[in-house]
Amino acid sequence: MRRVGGMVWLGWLIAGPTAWAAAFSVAYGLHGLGCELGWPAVNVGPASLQRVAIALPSLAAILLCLVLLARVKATLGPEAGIPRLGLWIGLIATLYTMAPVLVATSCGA
Amino acid sequence: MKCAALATVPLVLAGCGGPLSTLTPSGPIAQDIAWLWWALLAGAAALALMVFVLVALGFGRPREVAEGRWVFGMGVWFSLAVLTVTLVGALWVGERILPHGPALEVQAHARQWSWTFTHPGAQGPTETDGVLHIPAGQPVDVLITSSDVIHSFWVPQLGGKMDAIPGRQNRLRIEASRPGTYEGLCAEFCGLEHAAMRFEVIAHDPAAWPPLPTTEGIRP
Repeated sequence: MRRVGGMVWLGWLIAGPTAWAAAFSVAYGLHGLGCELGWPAVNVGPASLQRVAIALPSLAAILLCLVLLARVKATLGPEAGIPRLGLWIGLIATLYTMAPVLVATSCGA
Repeated sequence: MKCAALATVPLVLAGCGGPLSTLTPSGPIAQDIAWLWWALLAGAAALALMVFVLVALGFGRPREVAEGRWVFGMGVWFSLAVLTVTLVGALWVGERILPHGPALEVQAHARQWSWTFTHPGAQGPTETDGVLHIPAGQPVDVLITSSDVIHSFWVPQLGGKMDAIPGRQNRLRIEASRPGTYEGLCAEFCGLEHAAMRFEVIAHDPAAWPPLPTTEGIRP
């Protein structure tokens, strides 16, 4: 198995938390935008456009973490240990951040 | 040194009481917030205790430590359990204190560095400076606005806090269980006289609501 360079390994290491941070930032921005544009009142199937818009970035981050988790061992070999933990942290942090979106009232009323 | 540290304890605890304390709630909304505060304190204390025990184990002679139990059992699962319970508690309380359902509406307008309130009166809407009149025993929605900078409306014994933002109107629900006078303040730094930007909330007996125009400070 070929050895992976330092910066690439670093990229794998921070991939999980970075995916969470990106999803959180996008969801935060979409939440404010949705409140201003009245998305909670627009239905998309069984959920409101507001919930769908906020949940999508988180689902994308979860999907990315799962794909990377499936490939981390094959790519990094014996150095996969800590990057795998980073991906689990990103995955669980995204789940916790997304959970309130599915149940909590949006836009304060 | 120990005596000096112990002497500060009553001073610190003295901040837990008084008219501006969230730990002496006087209404159901403030009660929910106080409950959440205690739950978060208990969770934080449990996690701190775990860390202290871990540090204590580091002293003394080297010994065998069950790493798996500490790293995963306590470090991951215990911490996640505390986080999950407090998250669910916060969501539950957060939903309960939102302005759902009908409520009496009053207006609070902030400026550097005073508050003007408008509420229903016996002969039409009335306006007061620095004193908000509400009925006790029923929910009240405060519609909050500002004409200059960002302020924040907060009556710790009656509810949460809400920013007063120029150009928009925010809604905050408060409720007093019993008639009485409660203290409020601006909770967002807004300039030199920020600390003096206080106000009072007078909760009236429902039988005496709305207050007569002759009530002190009320003008039509």
